[in-house]
Amino acid sequence: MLNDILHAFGTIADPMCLSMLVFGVIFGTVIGALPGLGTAVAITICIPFTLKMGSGPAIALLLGVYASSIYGGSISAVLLNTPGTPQSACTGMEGYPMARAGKAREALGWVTMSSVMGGLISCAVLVVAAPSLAALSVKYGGPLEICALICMGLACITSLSEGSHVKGILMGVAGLFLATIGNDPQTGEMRFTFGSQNLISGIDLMPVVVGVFPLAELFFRVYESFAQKAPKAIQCSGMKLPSWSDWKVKGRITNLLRSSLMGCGLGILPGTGATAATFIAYSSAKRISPNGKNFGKGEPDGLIAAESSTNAVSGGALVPTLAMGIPGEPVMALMLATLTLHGITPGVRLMADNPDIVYATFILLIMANLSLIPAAWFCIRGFGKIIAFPTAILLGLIVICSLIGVYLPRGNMFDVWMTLAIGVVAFFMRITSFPVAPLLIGYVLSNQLEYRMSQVCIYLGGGSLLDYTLDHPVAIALFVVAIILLVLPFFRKDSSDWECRTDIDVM
Amino acid sequence: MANRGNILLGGIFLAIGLILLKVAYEPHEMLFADPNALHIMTYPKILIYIWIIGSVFYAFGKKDCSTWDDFKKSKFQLLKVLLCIAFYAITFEYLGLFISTLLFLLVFFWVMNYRNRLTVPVALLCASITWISFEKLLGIPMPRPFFLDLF
Repeated sequence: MLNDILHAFGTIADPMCLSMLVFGVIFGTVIGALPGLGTAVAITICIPFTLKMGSGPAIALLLGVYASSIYGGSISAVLLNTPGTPQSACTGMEGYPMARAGKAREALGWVTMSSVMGGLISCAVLVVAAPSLAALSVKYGGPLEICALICMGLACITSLSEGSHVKGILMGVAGLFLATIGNDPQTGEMRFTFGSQNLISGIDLMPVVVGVFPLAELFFRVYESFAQKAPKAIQCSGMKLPSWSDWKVKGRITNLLRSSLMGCGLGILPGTGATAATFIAYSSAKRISPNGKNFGKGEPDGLIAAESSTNAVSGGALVPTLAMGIPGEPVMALMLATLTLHGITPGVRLMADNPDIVYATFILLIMANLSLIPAAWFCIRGFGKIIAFPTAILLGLIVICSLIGVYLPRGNMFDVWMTLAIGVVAFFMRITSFPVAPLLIGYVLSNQLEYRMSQVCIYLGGGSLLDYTLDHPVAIALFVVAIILLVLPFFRKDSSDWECRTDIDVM
Repeated sequence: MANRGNILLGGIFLAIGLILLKVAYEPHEMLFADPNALHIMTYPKILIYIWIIGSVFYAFGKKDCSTWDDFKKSKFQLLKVLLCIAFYAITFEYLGLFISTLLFLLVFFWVMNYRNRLTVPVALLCASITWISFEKLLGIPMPRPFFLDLF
């Protein structure tokens, strides 16, 4: 193990790796601070640049962007009252009143420190939980168990589709189906190609990702520009980090630990994501905190709960992705896909086959969280300029990076046209409130699910499925959890309440 | 309760599902697989059945509250942006990265009403940065302009 950790340090000591991490953190903070763009778009823009890099710098860039873009959204929530990302909505509820009261520097200080602390606590959980979970998966990871695990990941589709679960299921099935087009992974026989040569190798991941996120977002921003007026920012030239005496106020450290662990735990569970974690942690803190009555009026306890839980999700969400190859949220599906493009297959074998990559990921995530403080200084000082950046230039660059990213992996123009088609469909789905995240999760998990199902059939050898299942109690338990996860949101009374308040679609 | 929009969209989904189901039921021989392996159409069939059931639930389920007012206001702008990207995709293949990016940005800025004395220099700068980053620094092979092959 010590050897692996030393090897991981060797990987990240590369100047290219460190510079990519720094660039990723700054870029992620800036993109996160721009309302509407968010983590998925920031990561998608970076993917083409990673294709020619080694795996170390590529992971550094993506982790830097991932950790910082969540935080970046909070800056616009405090100074603009427009959360840059959906998960920053609670931060806006506390941070904006504080900024309005002339305490913008203090609010940003609390936001930054809580984010960093939440992120670091989640890194600690990741370091402990991922190897243990991987070891358990190796022990109990038969095809039926993996099938059940994937079903658990898919069951989160209903929780990602607040408002209409049927819409979520339809989009998830669409994603699962898209992945079946082309060559069958086992026999090489063709399915649903309708005679098209271009469809023989299937629909690549990049057209799906780029169509669903950056391109649909571009159309949505053009659409929104006719519906909304540009918000006005509160001027602020820096931040004031909270002192130790500020932290010592009764209940604050407990609040930080509770909210971070809550965020981390909810991040591990598939489908809950940072938005749900934030609202749950925020409402718990409101109930428990001695200053609960001041929530909504600019209370630091509220900021601590919201920010630490949001950033703690990053480490938590990486646990099932790295240990089992099951992404619980769309951003993790993107990370998973990019790692696969680099020849790294997250899952039960990752710990055994590439332990240096796993440890490098842990170290890079810790470093990314620590880099948030200098990135915050940079971003807050230039925030006025960032939001004044002409939308046309920004969107133009997003289109260029996205389409080049689609063209690069296969050098095929068909992929570019497919992206455009998926982007238009995803845009219409978004304005009709069909959640697009289940489509991506379905697409990423589909091939694995079919492969494992086929393995189960071969193992059965014509025997009874019931008997085979009864011999696998772990799989039964996982299937039961999957069914509960799938069905529970249908019975949850007005579960969309807390998310609707943000008026932002959960991407 | 159900409204016309739901029934129309649900109907379209249902039609897509039925067409795919028809394709899935066409005979497909399993030439290379283990005799016990899952048939190549079994998994898609399961998905299509779930899709069809979901479509019916959607068509006759909770009323969809989506409004199209903002879309009506922005539809021409959206169409212009879409055509702009399509124009980029076409020119990218024949004119190469630099020229197509420059042309795309000029047209896109014009469509997005970004028209001032900086428009051309910004487009030129962005196209140059893109070209240098992808073709020179990352060394990624891109389509060559067709006229270079003429000489």
